[in-house]
This record gives sequence, C-alpha cells and structure tokens, in this order.
Amino acid sequence: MHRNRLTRHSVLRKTVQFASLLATNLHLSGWVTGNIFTGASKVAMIPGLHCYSCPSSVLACPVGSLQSILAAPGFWGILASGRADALIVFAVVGFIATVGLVAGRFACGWLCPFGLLQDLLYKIPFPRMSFNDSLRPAKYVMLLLFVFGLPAFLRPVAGGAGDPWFCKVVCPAGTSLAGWPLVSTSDGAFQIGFLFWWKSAVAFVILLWAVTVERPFCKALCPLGAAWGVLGKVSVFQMHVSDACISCGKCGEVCPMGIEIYKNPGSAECIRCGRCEKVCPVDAISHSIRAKT
Amino acid sequence: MGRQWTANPPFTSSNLVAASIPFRIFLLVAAVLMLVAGYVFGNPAAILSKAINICLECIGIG
Repeated sequence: MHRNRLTRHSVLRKTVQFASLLATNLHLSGWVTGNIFTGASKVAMIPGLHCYSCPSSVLACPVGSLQSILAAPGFWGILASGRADALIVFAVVGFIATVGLVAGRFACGWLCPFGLLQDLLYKIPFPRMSFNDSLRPAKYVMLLLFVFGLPAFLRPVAGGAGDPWFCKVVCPAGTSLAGWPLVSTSDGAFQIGFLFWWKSAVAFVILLWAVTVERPFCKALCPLGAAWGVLGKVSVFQMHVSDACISCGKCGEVCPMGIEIYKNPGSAECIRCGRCEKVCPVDAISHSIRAKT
Repeated sequence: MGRQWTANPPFTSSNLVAASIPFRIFLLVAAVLMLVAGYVFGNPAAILSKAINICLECIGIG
C-alpha cells in the first residue's frame, strides 16, 4: 500500500516539476535561434536555480540577479543614498526570503529546474556512490562568499564593477543550460577561453556526480538551498514527526537528501519532497502549519 | 492512536522549529513587504537589464 502511495506521489511531484520547468521556459524557439528571451516577464524571478541566459527562460534567476545588483559599481554608496538602482536588492532578498519562509526548501523539491535535472540524471542506471556528509556546509560558503561577499566587496578596480562570482566560476546551471546551447548555436560569435573550459569542467563533474549520487549539488553547493534551509527553520509550514514513530528508518531510505527526518524534523537539508510521509508505515510523518506543542 | 506532536525529545529538532505561528507569519509578512517595497521603490530595470542580455559570466565567456 505504501509503495503505491509513493508511486502516486512521485507521479504528482514529477508532474509539478515538469509544469514548473515549462512555465519558466516558454521561449522554446530560443533553443533553435540561439536568442534569449527579452520580454518584460524577466523582471520576475524563478523559485529555483535556472540561468536567465538559458535560451528558453522567461524569468530571472534570483541568485544571478542578486549578484549582479551587489556587483554594480558603487553599490553601497548608491544604496546609502537611497537610489532605486540599489533598492531593488530588497526585492531580490525579499523574494528569496518569502519562498523560504513559506516552506523552507519546498521549491528545491518541487519547483527548481536544476533539481529536476539532477533527479532525471539519477535515473540513469550507473554504479552509485555514497555522499560525503562533510561536504554539506560548502553550500553556506557558496552563499556567503560567492553570492554575497565577493560580488559585494571585491572590486578589481576601485570604484568599478565587481563580478558575479558564483555565476562566473561555479554555477553548473549557467554552463549546461545556457553556455553550452548558446555557444553551440552562435557560429563562433563567442571567444571561448579558459573560463569557459573551467566552467564546462565544473558543470561536467557536477552532472556526472548527479548520475552517481542523488542531488549532490543540492546537498553540497546550492546557495539557494542554503538560504532556504536556514529560513525553513522558521517557515510557516513545518515537518512533524509524531510519537507514533517506531524509528524504522524507512523514511531515510527514500530521502533524496539522505537525511533521517525522524531524528531531526527541522533539518535544513530537507527539501520537503514528501516521500518520507508516503513510506512511513505508521503515518508518523506529516507537514502542517501548526507549531509543536 | 491520535496524532500527538512531540515537544522535542526524543527527537533533536531545532528549537526554532517550535517558534510560534504568529512569529513565523510575522517573518513571512515582513519578507513579502520587503519584496513589494523593493519593486515599488527600487528600479526593476536593474534586474531586467541583466536578464535580457546574455550574461557572459554565466555562460563562461566574460
């Protein structure tokens, strides 16, 4: 019975994930023409990691938007003076905070296009590897250093612009979903150099990793996941484990993030996919708005 | 066997999870207000201008 429940739940989740992918990628002709979408909808952001230079993307990436605003020349000065160009940073931070405060990493499990890509890669029959849990804190380094710190404070030339460091040296979504398709359809318009090969190598390693480990990027490197995981501690919707729990560990066996929810229902690693709820033999796991008593 | 929500032990959940509902809703409302204020008082073109041009750093060119 629980196996059927899990199957139905997986179908539902995949349906939502593909619907989210389609809704954020309506400009499908971009994959043929190599031109990205330039409509006004790109002022809104995607609840997930998805490059706004992806040929089909019709929304903006919150991580990329945040870095580009922080890296603007004289960002702190224009923020202090209250100019609109800098105040828009509150919209980006507010968006990330809103998504995280509703249900933590729910968007990772149900809406993120790069999460879906990793889910699909993990379906490829291939020898599996174990995940080293000591890598999990690296995503907080990505968030604090590569998304916030370096773009906001490092200026190669005094008074000049900074760089979006996470996008520039790490982001596999940008390389795989924007870089590779755009370069391959550009007829040599782009000057490919060391950076492109570096990012391609990083993306290739992460994608290959995702074939052998379930959602490795979410576990170890995603800055959005780091932010939403922390916000999930105080999100409106929470996971709950009741006294009925018999500690059988079945929830841990199906968890894509490799956590044991019954030991820590408030884990910052939980992507709220709900698989644990469906396999629990005593229905001890649930999610709701109510606080613990 | 009714559903009884554990206070914390035997599970080592963070105390933050037990934060009151009004507090959590307050945080969410504050975030929504920040989002709206950012769009109202900020310049959305700062996002748009980046998003409608190919991000060379993102694709590994710039």
